[in-house]
Amino acid sequence: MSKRKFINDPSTIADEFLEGFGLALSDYVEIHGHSVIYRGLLDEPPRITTMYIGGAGHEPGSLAFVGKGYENLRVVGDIFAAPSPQTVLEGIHLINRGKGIFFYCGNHEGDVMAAKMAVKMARREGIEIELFIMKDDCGIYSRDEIDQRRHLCCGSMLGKMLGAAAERGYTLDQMRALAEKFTENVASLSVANRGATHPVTDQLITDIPEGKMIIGMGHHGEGPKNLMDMETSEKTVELMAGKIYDDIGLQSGDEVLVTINGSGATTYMELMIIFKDTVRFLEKRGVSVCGNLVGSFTTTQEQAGFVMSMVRVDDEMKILFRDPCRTPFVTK
Amino acid sequence: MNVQNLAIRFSKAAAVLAAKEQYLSSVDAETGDGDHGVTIAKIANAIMTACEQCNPNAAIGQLFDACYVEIMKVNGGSAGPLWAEMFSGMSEAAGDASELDGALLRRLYRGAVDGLNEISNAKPGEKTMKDALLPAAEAAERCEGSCGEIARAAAEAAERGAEKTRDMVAKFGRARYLKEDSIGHLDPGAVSVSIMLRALAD
Repeated sequence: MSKRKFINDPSTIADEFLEGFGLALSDYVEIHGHSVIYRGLLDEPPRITTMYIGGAGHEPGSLAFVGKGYENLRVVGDIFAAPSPQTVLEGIHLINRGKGIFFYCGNHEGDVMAAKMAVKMARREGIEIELFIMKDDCGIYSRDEIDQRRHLCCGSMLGKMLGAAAERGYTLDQMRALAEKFTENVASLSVANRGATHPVTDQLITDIPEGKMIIGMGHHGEGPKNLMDMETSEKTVELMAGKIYDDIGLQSGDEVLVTINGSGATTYMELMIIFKDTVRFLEKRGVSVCGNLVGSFTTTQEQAGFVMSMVRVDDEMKILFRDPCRTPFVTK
Repeated sequence: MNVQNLAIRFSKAAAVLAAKEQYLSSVDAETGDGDHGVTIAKIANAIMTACEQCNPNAAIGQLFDACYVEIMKVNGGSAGPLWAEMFSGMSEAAGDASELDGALLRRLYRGAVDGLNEISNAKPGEKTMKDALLPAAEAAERCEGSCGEIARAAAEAAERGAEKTRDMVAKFGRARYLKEDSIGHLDPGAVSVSIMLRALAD
């Protein structure tokens, strides 16, 4: 029995979580196996639909945004493990309305492999499907090595734009161009000050001593492991926003969307202070924040820390971000 | 060896692999999130399921294809698709053969490599399962002995290859975020491949 978590059988965690989520949020979503679908999708006239995949263990993850005007389908794997290509293909079948599918996927090997294999199988069946890999972590690899960049946390901002674009009748090519523009203007960075316990092995993934933090830690506790002393919110924001600012090449007059995504154990109180400090940091440099997502969306169990993600936006991106939507965690 | 005995051998080897779950997870804990063993156990169970359901009149390629199909159902990160493609490659190499002889066995290891290359562009020395599988294929191809000798040569080469991953910088998987700090730690993917090959040879 787990010593740290209220679970049942460790091998059915993802299934049981999905069952509970489906019961709690049946107004918004339907669960079919490991596919979570926007409930009203099949009532809308056929159009391009959007999807994302990922491992479980990061609840709510993008499930927070499955709904109208946002993500239409999320396929969930097992704990920190991508869904199988077969499972992904089943999800594709559920949202195929004959008008094409835009599939955005984080740059994690398991997810990318499953995505590529499922897309190959779908295309063989005649389904038109575009695959876009998100790369936004600026912690380890520079923009020149962008293909090495993993995905940290911009899917909720890009997903919103893509969901709105699909509803507005964008073509797959236009959505691809939007996603590419987004990638050129986004950067994310993480920090962790307490490690998480793996729900299945019940073992601590990373041990971060009290009073220390690691900038750049991944969503599954993976490297780097360079410890530094814990800082104030303002100083931490300065370090992180500073790096993102330089990476994107922000300038006075730019407008950005900001995501401050809590990793699970960091309090809402802290997240709001961090967000305030981020807004002030940018203001001092003439950059204004025109939209935001603050909360614990993509978590890593009880890891403490957060991911900061920023994207410079133009009018098109602003309009798409502000379009109406209805999801478990965001309604506009 | 006919397909039934091959299925039994693969099933037993998979059981050996599944029993190493904790060890594999601990290897993974050094540079990743510590659950490679969990995934490998799922893959091993898929192999056992496919082997148990094997039709005695099937060709060898069909046995491997059945393993591919079962593994493709596993929610297993990147290991799932990689192992599935290894079996897909082996299935193609086997063609419609119904008896395993030395010539076919030699080709199977290369078939597994070809399968991997369909979805992985890792090069030797980048600290992946290829660093165990590629030496195994090369050793098998050089060995002119019996099936048993071929399998043992391949297993030895795989084990040596896996041990060498300790000194490599990871270019794939989560360990790659450690860059040079990944040196000194084994690649779990190479280790699990070498365990399977050794179990098949014994």
